[in-house]
Amino acid sequence: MLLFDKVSKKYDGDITALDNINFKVDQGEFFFLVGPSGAGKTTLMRLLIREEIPTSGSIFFKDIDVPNIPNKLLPTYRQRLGIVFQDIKLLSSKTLQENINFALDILGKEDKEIKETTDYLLETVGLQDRRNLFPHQLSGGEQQRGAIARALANNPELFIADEPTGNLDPDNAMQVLDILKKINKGGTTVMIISHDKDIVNEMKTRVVRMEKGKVISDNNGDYDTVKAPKKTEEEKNKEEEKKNQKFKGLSKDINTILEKAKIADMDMVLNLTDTDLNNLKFTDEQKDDLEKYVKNYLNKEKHD
Amino acid sequence: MTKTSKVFDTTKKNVRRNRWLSFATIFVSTIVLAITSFFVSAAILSRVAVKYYEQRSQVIIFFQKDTSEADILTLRDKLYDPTLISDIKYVSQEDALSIYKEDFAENPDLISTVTADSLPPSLEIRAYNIDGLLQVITNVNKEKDTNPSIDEIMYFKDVVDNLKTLSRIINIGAIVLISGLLVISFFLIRITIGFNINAHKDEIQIMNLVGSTNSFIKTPFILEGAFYGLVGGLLAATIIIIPWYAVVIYAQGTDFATWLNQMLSDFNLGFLRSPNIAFIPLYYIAHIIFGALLGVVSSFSAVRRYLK
Repeated sequence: MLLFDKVSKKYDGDITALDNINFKVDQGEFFFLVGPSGAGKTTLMRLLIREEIPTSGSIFFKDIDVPNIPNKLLPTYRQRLGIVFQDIKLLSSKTLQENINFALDILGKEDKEIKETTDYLLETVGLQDRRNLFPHQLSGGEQQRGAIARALANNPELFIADEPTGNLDPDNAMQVLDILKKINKGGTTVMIISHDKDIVNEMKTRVVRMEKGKVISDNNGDYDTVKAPKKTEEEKNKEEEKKNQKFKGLSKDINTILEKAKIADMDMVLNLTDTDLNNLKFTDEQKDDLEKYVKNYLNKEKHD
Repeated sequence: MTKTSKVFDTTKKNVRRNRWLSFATIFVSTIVLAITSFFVSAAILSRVAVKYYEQRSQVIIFFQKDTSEADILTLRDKLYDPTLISDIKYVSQEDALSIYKEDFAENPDLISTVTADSLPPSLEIRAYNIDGLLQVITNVNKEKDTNPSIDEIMYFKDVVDNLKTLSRIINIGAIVLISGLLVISFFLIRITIGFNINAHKDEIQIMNLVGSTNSFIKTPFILEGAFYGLVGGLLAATIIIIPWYAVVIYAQGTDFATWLNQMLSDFNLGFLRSPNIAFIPLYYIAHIIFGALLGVVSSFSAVRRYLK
């Protein structure tokens, strides 16, 4: 459903916020993106909602190439997501009910459906009696739940919440977690950015850990469990190739010729004559490469 | 609720919830539109006055006393060009005597010595405008060279020249003034509405992030601009027309009122002499439409500028 493929994000040319991020998320998954402040979690979310564009790499949401969505189609894409921002971002000039109505209005829903959905969502997050209050009249936890209700209004395919339990007391945090579980049970993919250990450990689900702009762990388990992310097929192949390559620095072709001739160590390479090379059908270019390689080796030996 | 009524509802709420900003925007719109309206009215009045005097200016052709009426009427038909001349009138010797008697009614000594035979017949020509009159003067002068029955051509050269200069100044001045005021009004209202939009920039960003289309965000702001312009136009019309009629009514019976009434009658602006049921609604509608249009254009421009 969601794929981050070699995604990097640099600011001002040399500040790396994300470095070669690779992971994928399946439909209906519930997973946490964890890591210390500055790890790049929020940047990753910004790229996902196309608030920013990666410096390199691809992000696919289903069949949509997110960084290359035309501006005209951006609203339609964002309408498929439910987003809870770290700083909540409820519309301050609208009441809680109007904030939820707004998310439905932009979808062109009928009044009856808007009313029913709003009532249902306010009930789900337990804020029916707060519907006519403005965001500044709500407590932190209520604002957080209000933001969740708004993010759910469009029945999103992917629900993303950036620190949804930040600054909440444990009771409120658990309430929010219950709501998120409910959403996930309904089939919505849920991505939670958090550094709240208790919440992560409570869920015992997939945890992707980021540090210094890199994914350093991807596993099912606790917040503190660090397990290197699963390697992709491509990465595995590359490693295999490297392992099989006896003479590092020589091209794959030369290594293949040497392997076929059962030349397994450097002493054997040093004893190769021009005739041997001709017999082994080395091209002139390959001969030059091998000569350079041998010279470098001998220089290094001499230096050591 | 339909989509349109929802947008109106949102606009209404925005105006109501941002009272001070709405008040400030309406205040600026009112002042700007009132100043514009005042100067535009002054420019229109000046134009009407100049036009009136242009049309009143005439050239008089005096004929030899023995010229036959038939010859004069033939020349009248020859000179008449309906695209230039608004009125061409033959004044016989008898008519001239009547006018003379009327003009000097208070001086019987002057009247007793004059008879119709001592006065020349004439043609009085009025043109639609000063350029037309100048063209008529040229044509008549050409005719005088070949027609010995024309004794004299009379017109007030200085008055015609001054009128021509004044007419040009007023025409150009009115265009420059009105264009300038329109540009100033547009920018002042745009800046004020821009402040309003700027105050909502965080909300606009949020709306974008949760999937609003640009038109969904823009439309209430444009309607807000139309509303401010509309109310501004209404108030601007009020703060001009009410003092005007107050002065007119208060001054009744004075020399000033007599002069003003005469002038307004001459200029065909009788509806300004007292509150007029037909004129007042038109005056308000013109201001409201102009204000609303200016509000729409200004806010559209501001929205484009601030939503980039």
